[in-house]
Parts: sequence; C-alpha cells; structure tokens
Amino acid sequence: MFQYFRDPHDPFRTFDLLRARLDQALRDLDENTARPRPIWPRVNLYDRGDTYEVQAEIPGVDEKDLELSATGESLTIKGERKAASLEGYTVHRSERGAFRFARTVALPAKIDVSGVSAALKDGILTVTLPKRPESKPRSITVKAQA
Amino acid sequence: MSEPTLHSHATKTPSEPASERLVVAPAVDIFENQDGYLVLADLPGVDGDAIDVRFEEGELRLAARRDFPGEEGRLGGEFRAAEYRRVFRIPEDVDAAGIEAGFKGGVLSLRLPKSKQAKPRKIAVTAAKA
Repeated sequence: MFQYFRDPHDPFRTFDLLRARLDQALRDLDENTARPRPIWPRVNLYDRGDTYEVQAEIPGVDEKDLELSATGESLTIKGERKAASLEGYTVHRSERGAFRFARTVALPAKIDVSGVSAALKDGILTVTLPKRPESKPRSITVKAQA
Repeated sequence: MSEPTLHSHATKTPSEPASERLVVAPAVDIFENQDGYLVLADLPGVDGDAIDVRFEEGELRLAARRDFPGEEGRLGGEFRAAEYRRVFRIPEDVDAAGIEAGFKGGVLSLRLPKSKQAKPRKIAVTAAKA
C-alpha cells in the first residue's frame, strides 16, 4: 500500500495502482473459471462399527478409470471422467464436464489395508474399510461400587 | 456464440412438497445433431425405477428421487437424500413420441429425435438462364 505514496508527485502512481488492481482482478477471474468444481467428487464417511464406509458421487465414471489407494489412516480416490465420444454433435450446454479428479479422505482410526473393498453402483462408489482390532469398538462394563 | 435451441432451467417442485429432501437441479449436457437432441444428466445414487421423465405442454420434465438408507454412524458428509428436478422447453421440431431414455452409471441419457419434416432437406437450386 505504502509504495504508492512514496512520491506523491509521481504522475505514474495512479497507473501503477490501476495495473496492480487489474492484475488481481484477472487472477481472480482466472481462478473462478479454471476451477468450476472445487469439490469433486463429494464424499460421505460412515462409522459402521467394525468398518468405516466412504461413499463418493462419481456419475459417469467407468470403474476402469478409477484408482483407489488406502494407507493405514486414509483413502485416496483418483480417476478420470471421460467425455462421451460424440462426433458430429453441436454442444448447446455443457455443465457435466470431463476432467481428472483426486480426493483423499482421512479416517478417524487405523484400518486394515488388505481388507478394503469397493463397489460402484448407479454412480455411487462405496468403499468398505475394516478397522484394525485396536480401533474396533469394545463395550466396557461399568461395575457399581457398593 | 449461437443461442441454444433446447432451453433448460432449474425448477421448483410443481405440486407436492419435497419433504426434507434437498431439491437439486442435476448438471446436464445438451447436444444436437441433424437427427435429434441428446441430453445427459448426472443422477448419482438414483435407482433406475425412481426416474420420472414426462413430456407435457411442450416441456420435458425430469424428476428423480435418491433415497439414502440410514443416517446412523454418519461422521460427516457432503451429500444425502435428494430430489432431482429439471425442466426443459422442447423445440417444436422434436418428435415427442420417439423420445428414448437410458440410465447407466448414474447418468441419464435422453434421446429426442427430430420429426421428419424438421430434418434438413437439400433444396435443389435451379439456375435461371440469363
């Protein structure tokens, strides 16, 4: 801010300021147009007792174009939604888009990586992640003291 | 940029209230070729039987329901049960009787054929002799 007031008689002061603001405006515009989907896919996380379940909305994604990887405490869903191959068509509206995506879900406790399974139905991916024995719920009996 | 021929707009529920479900306008792609229009709509989590496509009064109404079993154990999330609704105003050249719908992988595809007289015809030009 202060740099513009170093010399109050500098005739280019206003232009510098204008240019700086325009640059910022253009950067904002670029960011808004380049990323129309800030969050994709949307996900849900459930605690199913002995397992965690992650669901993701991935309509139009083929299972071949999906890549899942799990560490002890996270699940990463990567993939690509490909455009339908439509030759000779004019596009009137394009909201769905074709793009690559990646999302990592942090899990609340350790999971057994070897037991992870996944299913895709009607555009919803469901990943089941079994908890490690030490993460499973245990019921604790309360003893009343006389 | 040319004006789209097949208009669409998000709509409110026409009659019955949609309970607590979120009403969502699904993302769509609209294509056209000389034989007709193709509409693709993202309907993740919808059962094929829960999709209702109606053509009335020159409008194509798309409604779908996504049920969501059990909120139990939900630790956090970004989507749940939803009502998908969208209405398209259909150009007059569509043959309404020939509309076909398919559903695969959470994507609805609607094919709207153009009626025969609306398809482009090649018109012969007779050159007049000067």
